[in-house]
Amino acid sequence: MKLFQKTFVSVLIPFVVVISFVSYFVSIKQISDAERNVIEEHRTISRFLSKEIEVGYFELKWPFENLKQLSQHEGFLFWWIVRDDGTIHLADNATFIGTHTKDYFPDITSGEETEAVFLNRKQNYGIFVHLLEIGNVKWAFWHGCSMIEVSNRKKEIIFLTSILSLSALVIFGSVLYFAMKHFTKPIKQLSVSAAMIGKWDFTNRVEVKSRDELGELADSFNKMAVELEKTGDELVAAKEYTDNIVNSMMNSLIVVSPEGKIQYVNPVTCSLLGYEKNEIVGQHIGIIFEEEEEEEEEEPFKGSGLANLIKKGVVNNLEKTYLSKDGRKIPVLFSMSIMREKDNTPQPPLLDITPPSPPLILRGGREGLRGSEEVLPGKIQGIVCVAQNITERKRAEEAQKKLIHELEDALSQVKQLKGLLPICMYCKKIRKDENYWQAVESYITEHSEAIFSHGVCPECEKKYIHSQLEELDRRGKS
Amino acid sequence: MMSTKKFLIALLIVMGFSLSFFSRCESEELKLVPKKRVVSDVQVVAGTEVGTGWSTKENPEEAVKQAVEMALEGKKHKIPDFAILFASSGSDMKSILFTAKKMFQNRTKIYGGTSDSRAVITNKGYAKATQRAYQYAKMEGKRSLAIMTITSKDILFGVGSAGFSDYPSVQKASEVAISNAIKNAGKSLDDLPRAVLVTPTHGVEEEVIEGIEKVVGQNTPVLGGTTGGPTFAVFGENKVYEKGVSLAVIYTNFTMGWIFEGGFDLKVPSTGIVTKVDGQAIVEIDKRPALDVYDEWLGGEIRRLSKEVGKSDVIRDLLVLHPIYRKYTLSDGKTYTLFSHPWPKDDTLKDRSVMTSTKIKAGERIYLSRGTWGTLMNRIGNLPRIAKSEGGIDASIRPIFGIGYICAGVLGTIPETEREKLPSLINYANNNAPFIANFTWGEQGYFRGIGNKHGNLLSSFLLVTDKR
Repeated sequence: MKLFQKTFVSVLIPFVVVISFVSYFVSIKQISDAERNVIEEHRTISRFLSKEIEVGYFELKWPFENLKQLSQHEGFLFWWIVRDDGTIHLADNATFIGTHTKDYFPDITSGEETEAVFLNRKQNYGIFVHLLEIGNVKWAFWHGCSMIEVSNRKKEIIFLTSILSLSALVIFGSVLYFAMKHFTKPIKQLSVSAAMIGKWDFTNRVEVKSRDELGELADSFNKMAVELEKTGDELVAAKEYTDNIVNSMMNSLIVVSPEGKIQYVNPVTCSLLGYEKNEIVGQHIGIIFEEEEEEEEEEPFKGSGLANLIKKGVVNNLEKTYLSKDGRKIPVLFSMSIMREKDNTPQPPLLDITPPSPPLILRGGREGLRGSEEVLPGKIQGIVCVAQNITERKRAEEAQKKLIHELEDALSQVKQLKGLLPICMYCKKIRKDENYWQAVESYITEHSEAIFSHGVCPECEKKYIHSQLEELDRRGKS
Repeated sequence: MMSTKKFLIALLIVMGFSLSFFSRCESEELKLVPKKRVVSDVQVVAGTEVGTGWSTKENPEEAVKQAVEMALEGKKHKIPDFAILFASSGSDMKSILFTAKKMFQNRTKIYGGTSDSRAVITNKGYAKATQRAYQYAKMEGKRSLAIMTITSKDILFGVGSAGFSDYPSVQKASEVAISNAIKNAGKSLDDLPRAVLVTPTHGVEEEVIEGIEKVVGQNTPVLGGTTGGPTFAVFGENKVYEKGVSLAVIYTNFTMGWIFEGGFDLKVPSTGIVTKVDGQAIVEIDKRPALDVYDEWLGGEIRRLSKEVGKSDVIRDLLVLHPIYRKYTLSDGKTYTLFSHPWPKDDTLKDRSVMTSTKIKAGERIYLSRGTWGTLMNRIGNLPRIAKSEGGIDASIRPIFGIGYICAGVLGTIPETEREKLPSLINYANNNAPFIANFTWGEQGYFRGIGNKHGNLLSSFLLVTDKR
C-alpha cells in the first residue's frame, strides 16, 4: 500500500469510527428524547382528559369536544372509556362501543395503578390507561397513541445523522484527500525519480518548491541525481567493461550463492553445458557436477574441502567433471574463491562449523556454506568458480599414454633380437637352443612382427635359376 | 490492494444503501378491527313485547323487510299492535307504508313520517343515510329507516292522520286526526290519552297543536317532531300525506316520563323584545331591524361569515348554536324555555329580517342562548335520564321503551364522526331499553302547567315504565 493510501485510510477510518460512534449516540439520545416527548405529551393529554371525564361523569357531560380534539391529534389511535368489566362504554369510533378491551389487547388490564403506560415498539403504539375516580365504579380511560411518529422521527434522525455524517465524511475525506495529495506529491515525485535513477535515468528532477524538510530532501535528491548523472556514464562504461571481460572469458565462470544456488553463469558455461542461462540460474550447483566416488577432501563444496576453501579463500585447479544438460561428461580444471562483502566486521557463524554430512552443497544439500562459515571478515556473498575445459588436453594425454605404451611394447620386442645370435656360416640357420637350429626367416618371424616373403634376387637368379634352367635345357636336349 | 477511490466509492455506496434502507423502511402500524356485537331487545315486562329494527337498504321493500324482521326477531307476536316508522327524507314513503302494512297484514297501527335526510336511530344503532342535509341531489340512493314494534296487553295505541288540504284548516285537520286516533284506540273522546305522539309536516306546527289541544286539552302531553326534510311526508292509515299530520295516542296505566328541552346555555345577557313580525319572520327587535340586533349579539359574526364564506348553510349551522328563546315561568317559579332557530331571511342580507321555524308574537321577549356540539350531544344522551327525573322515575330503572324526537339542526352541529355515539349515549341513560328516535325539523312538547308548544333546536323524549 502506498504512503498516501496508508495515511489516508489510517486517518479516515478512525474518523469514520468516531463519526459513527458520535452519530450512534446522538441518534440514540435524540430517539430516546423523541419517544419520551411523545409519551409525555400523550400522558399529559390523558391526565387532563381523565380529569375532565371524572368531572363530566358526575355532571352528565362527557368532554366530547376535547375528546374530539384528541382524536384529531397527531399520532392518535383511539380513546376508550372502559367499564370495570372491560366493556368499552364510549369510544372515538362508535363501532367499538359495547365490545371488550380483551378482544383487542388481551394482555392489558386496567389493574390497580392509577396510571399505566403500555408500549409496543414492534407495532409502534402506546396505550395510556388512567383509572377514573368516579365513586365506587372502577372505570378507566384508555388512550392509544401511535408511536409511528417516534418511528418516523427515528428514521428522520437516522437519516439526518447519516446525511450529516456522510457530509462530514465527504468534506473531511475531500480535505484529507487533497491535503494528503499535496503532502505526498513530493514523496511520490521522489519515488518516481528514485525509480528512474534505478533504471539509470538520471535526467529526472523533483520539483518541490516548499521550504520544509521535503523541499530540502528534494534539493538533496536533485543534487544527488546531478552527481549520479555525472558518474553514470563512468559506471556504465565500467559495467560494460566488466561484462565484456566476463563474456569474453574462454573459461566457464559460475557464481554460487552461500546456499549453493547458481547466481550467475557466463556464456561459455552455457555453451559448455548446453543450458540456457535462465535454465541454470537459480538451480543448485550440484546440477552441473557428475557424482563421483571421491574422498571428501577432494570435494570442493564438501567437508574438509569446503572448510579448506573457507579457510584459504581460494582452491585452485581441482580436476572435476561437469555434467552437461545432455549428459556429456566434460572434464574441467576447477578453481574457486570465496567472494565476501566489503564489510570488515567479523561475522559470527550462523551455525556450527562442522561440515554437514551427508547433504552437501554439491549433492543438493541445503546447508551449504551457512553451516561451515568461519569467523572471517566480511559476509560471504558467494563463491566464484572458474573452470577450464580440459577435454582436449585429456584426450591428448590419453593418446600420449597409448603411444608410450606401444613404444614400450615395441621396445620390449626389439630387445629380443638384440644380443649374439649363433648363425650357421653356411646355411645361415640360427641356433635357438643347444641343438635346435632354426631358419633365419622363421626365427625373425617368431621374434618380431616381420614376415618374410620369398623371392629371388637377380644375382641369385643368375647364379641359381639360370644355372638350373641351363641344366634342364641340357637334360632336355639330351 | 483496494485503491483510495474504490474505498471511498464503496463507503459512499454502503452509506447510500443504508440511507435508502432507512428511508424506505416501512413501520408496522396497529390496526384495530372492531368486533361485531349484536344488540338485542330486552323484554322488560311480561305482556309487552317491544322490538326495534333498522335498515339502510335503498330498496324500500327490502329495507322494510329487513327492519321488521330485526324488530320481530325472537318475538312471540309477529303481528305487532303498534308500529312507529320513520324513514329518511327522500325515501319512497308509499312503498314503505304499503310494504309494512302488507307484512303486518293490515292489522298493525302505523304512525310516523320522514326523518331528516341524514339518519334515524334506535337502540341498535345509528342508521346513517347522508352526511349533510339540504343537499337533496346528494341523497340519491342513500336511505335509512327504523321501526319500533310494540305488542302489549297493558298499553293501548290508536293512530290517526289527516291531510291538511282535505280540511278547511290545519287546526281542523288536526282535530279530525286526534279524534280518529282516540277512536282507533277504542276510546271515546272523553277518555283522554296519557300522551299524544305527533308528527306534522313542516311550517304549521302551532296550528296542529291548537287543533289537538281542542280535543285533548292543554294538559295532555303532546310530544312530537316535525317531519324531517327536505321533502316531508307523514303516514296515514292508507295514504301518505306530504302536507298533513300523523299522530298516535297512548293509553296505559304504566308510568310515563318525558322531557322537552334544548340544553343550551342560558347565561347570556343579550335580550330584546320582538316589536314586529311577519309570519315566522322577526322583522324588528326593540324597533330595530332584527338581523342587526341579532348580529350585534353575535359580535358581527353573521356579516363576517356572509362576506367570507357566503354559504347560507354555514351561517345556519353557526346560528344553530346561538338560538333565541322565550321563557315561560310558572307561579311556583319553574321556568321553561322554548327555543327558536333563527337565520337571515335573505342570504344576501339585504332583507334585515330574521327567519325562524316558530311563530313568535310581537311583544314577546326573546333571549340569546349559546351551545356547543358537545353540550348538545350530552343533552341528547341524557334525554332518558332527564325524562325519568321529570317523571319521578329512578334513574336505575329500565324503561319498557322510549320514543325520541331530536332536532336535525342540533344533529347538524355534531361532527359526523361523533353522531354514531348517540345511540350508545341514549342506551346508557335508557338502561339499554329499546328506543326509536327521528331527526326533526321542529319539535313539539309539553310544559307542565303551560301547555304544549312548538319550538326549534329542542328534543323531546317519552319513556314508559311499569315501575316508579
